[in-house]
Amino acid sequence: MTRLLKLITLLVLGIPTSVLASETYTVGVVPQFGPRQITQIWQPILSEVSRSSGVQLRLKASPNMATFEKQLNNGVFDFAYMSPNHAVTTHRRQTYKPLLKDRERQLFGIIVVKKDSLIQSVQELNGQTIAFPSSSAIGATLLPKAELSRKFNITMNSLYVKSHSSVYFNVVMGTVIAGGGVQKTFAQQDKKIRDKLRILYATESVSPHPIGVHSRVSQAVQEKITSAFLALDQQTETRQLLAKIPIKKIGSATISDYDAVKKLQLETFQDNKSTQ
Amino acid sequence: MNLQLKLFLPTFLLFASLATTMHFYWIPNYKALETSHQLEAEQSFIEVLSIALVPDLLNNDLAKTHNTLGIILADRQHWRAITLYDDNNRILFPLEPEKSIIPNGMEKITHVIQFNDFEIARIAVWIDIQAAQAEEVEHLYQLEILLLTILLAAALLTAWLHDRWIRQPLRQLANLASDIALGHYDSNMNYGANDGIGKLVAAFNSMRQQVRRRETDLMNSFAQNKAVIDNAVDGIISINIKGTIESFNPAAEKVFGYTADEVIGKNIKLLMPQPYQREHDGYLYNYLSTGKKKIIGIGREVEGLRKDGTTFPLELGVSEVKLDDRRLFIGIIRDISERKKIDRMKSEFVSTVSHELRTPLTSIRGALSLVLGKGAKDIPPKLLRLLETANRNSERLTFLINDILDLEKISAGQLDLKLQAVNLVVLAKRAVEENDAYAHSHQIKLTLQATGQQNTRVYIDEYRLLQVFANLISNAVKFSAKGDTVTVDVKCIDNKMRVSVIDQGPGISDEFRSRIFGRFAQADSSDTREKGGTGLGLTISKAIIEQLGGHIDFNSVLGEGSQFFFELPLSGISSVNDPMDTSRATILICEDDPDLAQIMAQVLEKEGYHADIAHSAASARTLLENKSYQLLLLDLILPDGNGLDLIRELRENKATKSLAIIVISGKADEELKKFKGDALMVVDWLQKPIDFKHLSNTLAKTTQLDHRSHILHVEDNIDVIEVSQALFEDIVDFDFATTLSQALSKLNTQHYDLVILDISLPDGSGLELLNHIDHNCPVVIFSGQESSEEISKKVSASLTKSISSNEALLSTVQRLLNANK
Repeated sequence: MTRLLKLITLLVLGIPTSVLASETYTVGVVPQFGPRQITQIWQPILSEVSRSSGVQLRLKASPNMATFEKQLNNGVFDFAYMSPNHAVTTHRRQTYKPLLKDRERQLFGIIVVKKDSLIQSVQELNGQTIAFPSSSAIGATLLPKAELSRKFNITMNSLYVKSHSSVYFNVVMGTVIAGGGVQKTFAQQDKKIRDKLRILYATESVSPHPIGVHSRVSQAVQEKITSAFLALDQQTETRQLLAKIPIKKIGSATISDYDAVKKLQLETFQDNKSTQ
Repeated sequence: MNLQLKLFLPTFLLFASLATTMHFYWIPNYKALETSHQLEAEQSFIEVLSIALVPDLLNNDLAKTHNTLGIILADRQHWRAITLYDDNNRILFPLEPEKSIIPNGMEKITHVIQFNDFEIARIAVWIDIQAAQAEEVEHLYQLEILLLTILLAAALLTAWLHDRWIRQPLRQLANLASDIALGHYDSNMNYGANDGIGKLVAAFNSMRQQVRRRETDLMNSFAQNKAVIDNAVDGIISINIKGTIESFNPAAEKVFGYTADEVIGKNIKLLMPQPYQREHDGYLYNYLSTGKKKIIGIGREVEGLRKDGTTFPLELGVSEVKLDDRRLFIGIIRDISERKKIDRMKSEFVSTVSHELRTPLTSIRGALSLVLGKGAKDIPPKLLRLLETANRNSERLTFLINDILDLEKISAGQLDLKLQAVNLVVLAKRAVEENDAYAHSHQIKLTLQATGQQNTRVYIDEYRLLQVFANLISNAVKFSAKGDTVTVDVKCIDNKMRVSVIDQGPGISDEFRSRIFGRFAQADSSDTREKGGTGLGLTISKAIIEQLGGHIDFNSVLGEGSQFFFELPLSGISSVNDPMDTSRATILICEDDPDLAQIMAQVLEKEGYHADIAHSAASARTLLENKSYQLLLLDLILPDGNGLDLIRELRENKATKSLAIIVISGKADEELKKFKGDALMVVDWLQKPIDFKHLSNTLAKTTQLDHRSHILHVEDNIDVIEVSQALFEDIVDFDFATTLSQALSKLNTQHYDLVILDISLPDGSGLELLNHIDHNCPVVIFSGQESSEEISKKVSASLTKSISSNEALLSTVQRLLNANK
């Protein structure tokens, strides 16, 4: 009841600002999922942030990663949810800077093999074909590839199989010896899949995906948006909205949070051919 | 199977065949077709699915592939399993192939997934086609039930219409027919429509009317026939093949004393006395099994049995009728009691008349012939002529009566013939001899022509054939001129004996020829008086010859003469020893002294006897066995035995039992004394040396009956006795009796060598005496009635008064006495 009253109050108070703020800011989202899923996740969040901040946000979907990266390079979006790697590259070009990120969870990659596989160490993967979702996936592809290459000096053939699930399926069905994934997607797999797999290796962690802001956006708007997002963490309902992104606990971010990523020079492991 | 069923059956069969075709042919075929369509559709779907899977397969996006196939499996429930292998034959789907068990009975469709002509994967799908079609099949069966329901309804409707349109009218017709069968012709049936049934009903109604009309006609006709039968004077009875009486008309009721109701359904035997009653089934059975008719189609006299147990004569005519496949016997019955009574009266009358006429006539004839024969010389000529006229007319009357009686017998079929094998030549000789006197009296010469046929015999009645001879000869004599010759010719032609009597008279005119064998036929009515005769002779002769199996006819040329002839079949019997041939008595001399024997033979030959000689008893036996002798002259002393023993032996033998024997002995007197009283029936005892004169006398007595034979004439008519006495008194001791009782007392007290017997006596039948006459004693019946065959067998001879002349009686008696000596 109290919650409902507060919501009504917020709604009443928010009307003048929304009316006043005639300018609308676009929001881009890295196409980790399909456009519909992205809309489902992001539209409620953006509506809530718009309402509470008084800044009108509009979701601008990208059909694929290539388009998204192109749009990112061209500064199409005012705000953008991007991979850590994008945060590094866009910051280098002075277009976007990280504003917000999950402050509790870190991003790391995993290597899975079949549960009954004879392989016990990553060294044994040398010369093998390993499945990855896509060439630009930071957690599942870039972090494992960078670490296997640099740390263990392993050469491998990469098979990009479109999605994390596909990686796990390919490993389970035995089309490949091992595959790259992340803890979260692995945990999301059906028990039947999980029970057939074993995590062989986990990479070092890096900061997760940030929400960046274009440099053209005014400081005032940046602040309004930041506080509005941070405010989402205060309410259970809105916190659950964030969890779908997934952001467990939102906090503010700076470019320094991504120094480790910068240091990995992940773009060197991004196969051009599979970059879409 | 009733009509209703028959009418319903075709519809039902149609229904059944349609249902069967639908259920067992159409639906399975349709299902098979549907299955094939379904499989085609599934194939197409799999091909499309394969195309859809290509990008994900190329991207190795196994998760999406699994997702896609999982969605499809969930969506297509009849897809029970999918397997997907990559080009290296590694399984891509399902996740747990080891766990997916593919059930039996699934259709499997495999498809190779290609991209740019390269195989990238193979997909196999197991489809539960039955499940896929379950709904459709369910639908199909619902449709089938609907169709069958409609068909069944149509079938039931058809059956109902058949019942209403066909069976019900037919049943009405059947009821109508039953009504007609019961005689209810008024029932009618109306049927509006002019269809087949309508025409049938119309035809039936028309038939009903016609049947009614015919029945009326039939009833009328039946009534008419019934009236005829009911009013018939004769009894009419019909029986079936079992002898069961089926109809019995009022006349039959009257005759038998039964009502029709009492006898119909019972066996015809009821109406018959024994033994017919017992034998009737046998008659019927014989006829039915052999077809031999005993009574059918032939009128017959039988005896009937009335209800009151009395029997009566009836005339029965039976005819057989076949009605469809039934056989009926129809008996027409006439009570002939009355007629029989009249017949009996008539025959009694004839018998009486004949007896009454014959007896006085015999006396007249006998008396006249004796007067004319014995004392003709003493009678004045005028009286003699009158007596001769009387004699001639008495003879004519005798002939007339005899002929009329014969004719009566012939017409009644009662001409009894005593058949025996007789030498026709001998008989012809006898006939010529018998009629010679008559011919002579007409100054006609009578000759016999018969050569080389003496032993040829015919099977005839001697007396009757002599009658035929007499008729033919007397006719020939009558129609011959004085001084002519009548020839009797006997010859054998083709196994037949032919006797012709040939005259030289005027011949027979053409107009008379056709009726010459008719009754009272005479060429000229004046003939009767002129020629004498009854005009019945040829009629009787023809009847006799035909009954003897022969044939009689004539040839005649006017002005030249006539030839009457008859033919008789040969009997085939010939005899070695012909008694007629022995014109002389044959005597056997049995004497061991050949000289004496020879002398005796010579003496006997001189006396007119024929003699054979035997010198021993053995040779005498042989001769006696082979030849018949009238007398045996026997010496008692023989080289091979005693003559007395031979006598005894001969007396034991039937053939020689009555042989006359004269004993010649040197000591005859002693022997005679010794054997007096012994019944050796020796005629005489002669003492040697033989007195030939005495022998001659004895022989004469023995062979000519000129000895003391004792005969008895039993006769109630004293006139006949007188004639008989005059006839016999010279040669025998004549005695007579006029009543049965008198005859009995005489037979009991005296010995007779022969008895002449009249049957009709005032106190009984003369036949009663037969038991009282010694069986060695011959009996001659001399009666007004002809004797039956049965009686003739019991006696030695039977003669009929007025038929037989005095001479015939005398010769018969003489012959019998002679034979018995």
